[in-house]
Amino acid sequence: MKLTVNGADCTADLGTTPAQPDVADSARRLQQPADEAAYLDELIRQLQQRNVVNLEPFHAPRRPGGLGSLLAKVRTKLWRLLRYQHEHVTAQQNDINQLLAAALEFEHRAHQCDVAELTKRIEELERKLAAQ
Amino acid sequence: MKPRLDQLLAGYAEGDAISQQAVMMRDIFRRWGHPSDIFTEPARVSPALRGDSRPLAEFSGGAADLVFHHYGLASSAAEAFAASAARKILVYHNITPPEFFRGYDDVLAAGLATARAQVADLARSCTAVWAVSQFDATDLAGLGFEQARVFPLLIPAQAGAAPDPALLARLAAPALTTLLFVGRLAPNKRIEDLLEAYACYRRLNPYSRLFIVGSERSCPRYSLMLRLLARDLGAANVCFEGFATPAGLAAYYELADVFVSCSAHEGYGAPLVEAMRHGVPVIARDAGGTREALGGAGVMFADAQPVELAALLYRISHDFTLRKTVLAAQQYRLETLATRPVEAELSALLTGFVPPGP
Repeated sequence: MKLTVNGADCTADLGTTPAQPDVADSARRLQQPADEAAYLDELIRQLQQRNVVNLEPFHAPRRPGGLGSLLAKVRTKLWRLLRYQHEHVTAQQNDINQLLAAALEFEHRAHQCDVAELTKRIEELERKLAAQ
Repeated sequence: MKPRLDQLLAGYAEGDAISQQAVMMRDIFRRWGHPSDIFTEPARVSPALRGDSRPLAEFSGGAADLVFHHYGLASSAAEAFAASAARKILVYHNITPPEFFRGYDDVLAAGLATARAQVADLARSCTAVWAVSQFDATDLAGLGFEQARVFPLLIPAQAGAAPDPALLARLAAPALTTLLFVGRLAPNKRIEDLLEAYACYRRLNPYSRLFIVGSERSCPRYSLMLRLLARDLGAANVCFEGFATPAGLAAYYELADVFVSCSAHEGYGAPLVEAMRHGVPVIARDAGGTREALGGAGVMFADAQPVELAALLYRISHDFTLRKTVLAAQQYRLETLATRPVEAELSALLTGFVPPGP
């Protein structure tokens, strides 16, 4: 990296860097698609990967000190207490998501087949016209 | 009777950099005694500015008049400009290269490619061509027109609207470090780089948030990718705030600790100057007209990995000595901009086209 502060080169003066997140199979794959069709293909793949609600306990930053510790414990307790209801609701939501994602994929594939069929017919007609 | 000096705009909106420049030019022309108006398609005028511009259909410049067109994309205003009998001055605000939009919006990419292919011909049909940065003049030269003169983007010397108090109250969180990006959500802005850097930054400072303020309508597929990526990165507190009014924008600047832009292509970068004006340290990728907008102030980076940008964000938000130094340089840059002899520059550029001065 080249770093300029107030017009002066400060590249050597950056400080410590944190760890790099893994983005190999993330939405980054939607970046710079070849065309809109390629974007849609990848989007549907991403949608299939994400059609369930994540129930893992999320990490909440914790303040230092006694109050921070107490608040963290309260949050954890609340999460556990609400889990029964969460899971009941998210199970229904997952069903809906999976149905929608599947329906979208079927629709997309059918549309691709229609386009391929029409393209083929247009090419045949153009060939016939050219031959006349 | 002095000749008319009219301006044709593709759109007219409060807070928009091109609109602000057009208003400042119109005010100067009127002070000089020229009849001067801004013409736009009524459908492309923001509600707050209705009555401040005239419908494009009413424009009819005569051969003795001068008409300016602020050009950034093909529009009906560009067509009216090309067909006008008046002497023409093209103000080039840069056309984003289509490569950025390919795959996200193929129709827009094709439109940008056409606009870039045609701009040199349009420029050759004009009496004069101005570019709002040296970067834009160079870009235009690359497209086949080399005689553009630089008239840097005009930015009001004073901050505009007062911060929206309701928004300030709703978003106030003094314990959190607030990072801010302002700009429409478009692929050339490289907001994905900012998201990745922020995900790394949160490992250094979990008590933080990232506001992304700007319209999501210009490229919905790109906006969707950003939202998915933010979720993939697990970076909580990424807030896509959408379009903001001038008062809302002022509130976001007020709340911000650092302004950061990863944009890979900017004609000039008006939000960088806006951020400086609100006393927010600016970090920006050294690309396009960014260097000209910052004018030696602020922090610029190039070829940065997300972790490096995260470390840089951490330093600027936590190293108070460095922050003070950056803010002092930004203040000096603002003073330079405030004392810019705009009328003299305009008068010099218009020498030979209109009678000089008021």
